[in-house]
Amino acid sequence: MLLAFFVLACQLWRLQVLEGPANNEAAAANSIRSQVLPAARGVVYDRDGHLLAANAPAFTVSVVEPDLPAERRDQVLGELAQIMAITPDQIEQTIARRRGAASPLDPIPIRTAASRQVAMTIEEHSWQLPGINVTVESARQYPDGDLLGHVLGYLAQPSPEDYEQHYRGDGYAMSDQVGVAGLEATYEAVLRGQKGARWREVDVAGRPLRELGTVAAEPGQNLQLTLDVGLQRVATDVLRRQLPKGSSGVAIIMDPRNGDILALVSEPDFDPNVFSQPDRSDQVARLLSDPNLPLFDRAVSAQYPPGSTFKLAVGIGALQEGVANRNTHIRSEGGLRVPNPYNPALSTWFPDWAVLGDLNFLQGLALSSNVYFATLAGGFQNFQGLGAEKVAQYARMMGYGVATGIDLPGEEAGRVPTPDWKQTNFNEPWFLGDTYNMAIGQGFVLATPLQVANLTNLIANNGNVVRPHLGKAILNQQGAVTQDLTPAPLRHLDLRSDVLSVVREGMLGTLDTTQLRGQMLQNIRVAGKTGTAEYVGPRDSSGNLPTHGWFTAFAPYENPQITITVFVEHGGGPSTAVPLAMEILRSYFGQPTPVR
Amino acid sequence: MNARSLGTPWRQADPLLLTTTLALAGLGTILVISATWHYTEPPSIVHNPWLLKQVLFLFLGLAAMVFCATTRAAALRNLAFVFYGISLLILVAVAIAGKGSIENGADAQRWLEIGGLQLQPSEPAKLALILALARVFSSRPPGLQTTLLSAITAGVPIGLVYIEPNLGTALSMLAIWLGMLVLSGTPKRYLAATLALNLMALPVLWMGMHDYMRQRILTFLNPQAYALTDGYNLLQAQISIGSGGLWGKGLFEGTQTQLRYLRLSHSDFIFSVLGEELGFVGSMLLLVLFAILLFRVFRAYEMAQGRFSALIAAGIASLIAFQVVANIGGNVGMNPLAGIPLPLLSYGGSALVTQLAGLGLVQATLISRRLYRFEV
Repeated sequence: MLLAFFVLACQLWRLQVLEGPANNEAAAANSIRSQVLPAARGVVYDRDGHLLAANAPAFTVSVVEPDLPAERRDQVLGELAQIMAITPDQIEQTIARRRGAASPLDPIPIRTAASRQVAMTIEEHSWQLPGINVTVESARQYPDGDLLGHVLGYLAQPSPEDYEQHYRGDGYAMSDQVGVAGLEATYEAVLRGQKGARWREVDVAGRPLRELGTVAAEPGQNLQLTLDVGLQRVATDVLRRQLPKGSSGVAIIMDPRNGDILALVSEPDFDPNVFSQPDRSDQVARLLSDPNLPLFDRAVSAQYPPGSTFKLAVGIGALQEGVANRNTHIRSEGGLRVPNPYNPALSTWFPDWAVLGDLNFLQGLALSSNVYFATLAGGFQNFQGLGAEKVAQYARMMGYGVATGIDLPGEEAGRVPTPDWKQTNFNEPWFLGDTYNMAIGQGFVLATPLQVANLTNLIANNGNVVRPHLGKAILNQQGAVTQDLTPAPLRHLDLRSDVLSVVREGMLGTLDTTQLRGQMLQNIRVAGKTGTAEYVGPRDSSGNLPTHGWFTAFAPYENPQITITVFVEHGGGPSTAVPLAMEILRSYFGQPTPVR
Repeated sequence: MNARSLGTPWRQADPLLLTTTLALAGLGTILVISATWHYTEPPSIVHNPWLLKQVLFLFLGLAAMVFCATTRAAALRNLAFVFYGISLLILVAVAIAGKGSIENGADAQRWLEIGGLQLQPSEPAKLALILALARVFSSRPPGLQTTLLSAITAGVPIGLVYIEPNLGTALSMLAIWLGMLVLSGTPKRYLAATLALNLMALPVLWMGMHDYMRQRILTFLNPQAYALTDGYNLLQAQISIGSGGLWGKGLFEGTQTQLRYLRLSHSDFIFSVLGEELGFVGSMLLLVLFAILLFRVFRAYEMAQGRFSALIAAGIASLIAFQVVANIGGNVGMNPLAGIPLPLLSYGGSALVTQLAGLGLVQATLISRRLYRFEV
């Protein structure tokens, strides 16, 4: 008897005194839970203070698995499913999908935007629903809907793999929503804020009993954009009304002096609100399966042959290198005959779009003569051209072939081909015909609409390569600017003083042609460059390849304030892109649209 | 002069045994309050059904103790088999009509519901068994015949309780029998034979066990493997006791108990509540109290006049000693948990009344002894 008591006493000594501290820790780990206090995400304003991205309260229903009593698990989940009008299986599947990526005590979100009704019902029944949490978080709201889908982007929960690789280390919880597209992604670090924490003592069912301490959350900083939402709406409306059916298009309006983007439209656009509202998941599915790719931001991520807009780069190079001046005369007989380098008896016809006759530089640019610029680039007979290498060098200098560095994710760099590039990729030498094609923005050249816009910027601002940007400033909670986001120009092109003025003068002539004169604005002179780029696709009835239409312009001519670049898939430059751009410009300058 | 005319000589009772009994029952009541503090929402003393029942049964038990202290050996001896017979009948009735409890995951039939109170007849059956065995052992000299007869007397209720199934009570009854077998002076060779037979019966017992009983043993052998199921209680019990440290977290301050990480804290794991809230010092105090109690009961066994009275004390001592060691041992993880309550402390009215009545019988052996001595 005494022996048994002695053994018990020894065991108690071991448990309580020797292993006491360890057991104490185990007991604390049982009962002390930290709860994350989410930080309010920063909001986004346009340049005039219009709210573009805001927060609305959203209820998240989640399950803390260890708090689910094992013997009542089915019953609890059954009740929860009934309240949420889903099946218990769906809950189990969500749990199974999300389990294991984080610590087992992390709440597993079942629904991230539950209705107030559901949230209240669960709260009322919380004693019958151990292990079920309802937290109030904020859901992102985009008041302008599908006006700014590409620009603002949206938030989403990262996949478990993404979470492990990119987010876990930065203090994100698995259930956190992060910016995954548009500015929400670029400025994630600015907008997200700093989470707080609250430590509470909880009972075995996870119900809080006592506060132990709190560290308040710090809300994210607010973002002001260069964007003018009114202009964005005008440009979007014009594109939606005027684009050929089933087509797509881009309109970029910028301030050439600093690279501020005033409007950035890529049609079709999407409503980013569908991503924060689970009951609209069918719309997400539709967006993902739409053959017209509404989630694809063509303004920065699509690469097209720039067509005749590329002649601007060729012209600048030719003027700077002395290959041409404003009085250089070249005759367009309707095309150039390009001899075959292997067999002089054979040749290829490089056509101009018409027999344009004798042209000086200004006329060549205004009329967009292919012969004129092919000759400047590749030379013809006695005329010594720039050569492919020089054309490529100037194109790069002006921002082609390199991403502009816009503060949006997914920007593409375009392509500036060189003889070396062709040899490497096609195992073929560079022919004169390649230089001619390159001169008119065809063949191997590819550019994003944003790159075309940025070339116009540097022409308008007299040689500064600016960095296009949407972020204007970071504001604190009181609205004061804590950081100016306007980037300094990337570089200044050291060109002879008359080069860009000659190009500008040539661009001024574009609208002063028979075809386009009717598009001119009252009292404000617009200088621009059209482009109609062929691409490989089904030919039309007359055997022509399909084309994309371009128009890039600046205004007013004397003192450029804005540049506009319009791109129309399956369109023509003068026929489609110009009227769209001019309608937007008329609206910008407050002029009525002429009745046609 | 007649004993009856003298009245009951209360001053001849054992005051230390009484004090210790009351101290343990009082400590038990306090621990039941602590263990059930958060069973109700909001916590309340007045509206705590567990506490109310426990206090009710405490007073019932004290009344039973006083009454039993007045009984005399001769009367008890005459009625021993009557009680025994009644208890067997009730056990059979329980097996047929009893109300099951699912707390062990088995279809346990242990309860009889009378007037809204759930009674556990196997508890008073322990006392009836002690009386019956005391009579068997005191009627004959120790020997083979007595041993066999006692084995049959004990075996029938043990069997009935075992098929309820209630392993804990069956083991307690086995302990009563073995304890009384030893203390009745049974020759060593029969003791050895009994021990050997018991060991040989173990594999048979294992095969015949209900799943929940086997699970308990497996869980005991490796609690970590069942950490979220059956081992949970055991691990939490050890965390509770261990986290109490030297001085404990203080009454009502144990997080394990109050936040309900510790389950069944008012019954099987009441010792874990004590361990957590009163620490090593409290645990030792409890062991010392039980040691004093057992020594005083054992003293009654040695001082009793007449084998029948002495053997009653022996049975009570065996019962309490076994349950204390088995329960605390189970709490600290030294032996499998068998659902054996801690005497005088665990929540449970039938057990409390039975134990207090039993201790009353022990007092009676002392009281009647003095009575005989001063009889003229």
